[in-house]
Amino acid sequence: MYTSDKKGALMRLLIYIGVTVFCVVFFLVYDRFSHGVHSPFMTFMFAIPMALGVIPCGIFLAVERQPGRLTQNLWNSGVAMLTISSGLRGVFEIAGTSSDWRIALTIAGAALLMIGAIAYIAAGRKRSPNNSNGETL
Amino acid sequence: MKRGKKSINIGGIISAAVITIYTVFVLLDAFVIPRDIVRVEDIDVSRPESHSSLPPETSFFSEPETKEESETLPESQESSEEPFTEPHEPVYTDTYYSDENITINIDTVREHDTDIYIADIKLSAPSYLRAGLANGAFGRNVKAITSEIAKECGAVLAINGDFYGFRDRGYVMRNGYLYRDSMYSRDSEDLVVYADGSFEIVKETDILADELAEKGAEQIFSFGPGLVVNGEITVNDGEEVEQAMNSNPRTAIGEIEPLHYVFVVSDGRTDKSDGLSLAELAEVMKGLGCVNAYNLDGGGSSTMWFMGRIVNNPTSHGSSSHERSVSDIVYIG
Repeated sequence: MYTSDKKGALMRLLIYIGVTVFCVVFFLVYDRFSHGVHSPFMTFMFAIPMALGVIPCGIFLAVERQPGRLTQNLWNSGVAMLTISSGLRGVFEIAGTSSDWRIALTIAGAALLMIGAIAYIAAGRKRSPNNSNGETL
Repeated sequence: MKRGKKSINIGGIISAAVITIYTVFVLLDAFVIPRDIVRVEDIDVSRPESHSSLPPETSFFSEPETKEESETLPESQESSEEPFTEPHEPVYTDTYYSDENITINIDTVREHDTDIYIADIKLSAPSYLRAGLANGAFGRNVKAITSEIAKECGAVLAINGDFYGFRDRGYVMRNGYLYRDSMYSRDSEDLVVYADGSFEIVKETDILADELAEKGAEQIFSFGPGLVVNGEITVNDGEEVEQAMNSNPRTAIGEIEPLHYVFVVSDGRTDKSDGLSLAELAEVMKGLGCVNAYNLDGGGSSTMWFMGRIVNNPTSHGSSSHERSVSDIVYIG
């Protein structure tokens, strides 16, 4: 069981590394065609999947209790929303425009991260002492 | 270890689909979908105090100009406004236009490794300086190319405006009608053109759009910044943000004296022309004698249109010459 969970954590880690690299490449390509206009939200977009994806997945490689699928979905969706929201803000700032709809992505992303974190913690508290396989929500 | 088939992550798939669809919607809403549309033909712009003429002594047209290499304009291009001085047939060349109310001279200069197109404009009345909206309507993402809007408006000379439709905020008044009164940002500087043709550059934080309307504003452009205010250059490379320091195609409008204006458009982003920074553009405007000058939308939007042809080299698609669709124009006609 541990082997399988660690494999899952490793897979998630690799995916988040891929997303982080994609964000860097996306910024570099976009920067080439943005006529010298920059936005920190585009430049540092990669920091979101790195801080909220790569680092937590790295930590999960070292711990026994792995997040369940629902928790993972909530967390991954939150990271995706925040990353996309940052990228959109970068695109809009470089273009010289804005969108109120984008803010909803940020709020929803932050909310999903919080719910995911709470779910992981709550599942840990509810876990039976005999349930050593680390399964959570 | 678990055995059997790996289950499909339905929740993950649904989540990814929702995020993708929403992202596409946000992008379409920002860049493509027209909305908040107000058609010009549905607006009552009757303002008796507007379009008031200045006293005769301010006119530049006491002695009508003529040119040997002139052509007669088609009737459809003649101004419908009441003539301010004695009528004479419009005459024009590729760089010159004159009728009883309008005189335009277009000059091309080269500074900062950039071709700069300068239209010197003298009017008999402020009502000949007007603004045109794409497709005859105000709204987000309502767009058309400058030359198309200019033709619809019956313009003699036109430049792109402030591309108000690319943003949801910022004062917008066109031809005496206030379309939008929401503030863009704390630092926003607007160009106000009053009914007597005079310019003023104001900060949106200092005055409400309604108050400007009460003061007799005829046009309010929300882009900026102001380049020259009361004869003094107000931008420099040290203070400006990165976007302003970069060399780009630029569009600016300036007032030299009552009813004497300049439209300035620079090329950029091409092998032949680097473009201008805002500080360089401000120097150009100051050098032309502008008392007040204002930066309009630039980059790929920068376009000058005169008597049916594009004067500059717009670069909306990389470095190729191509007009970008914009929300609005400023025109003479």
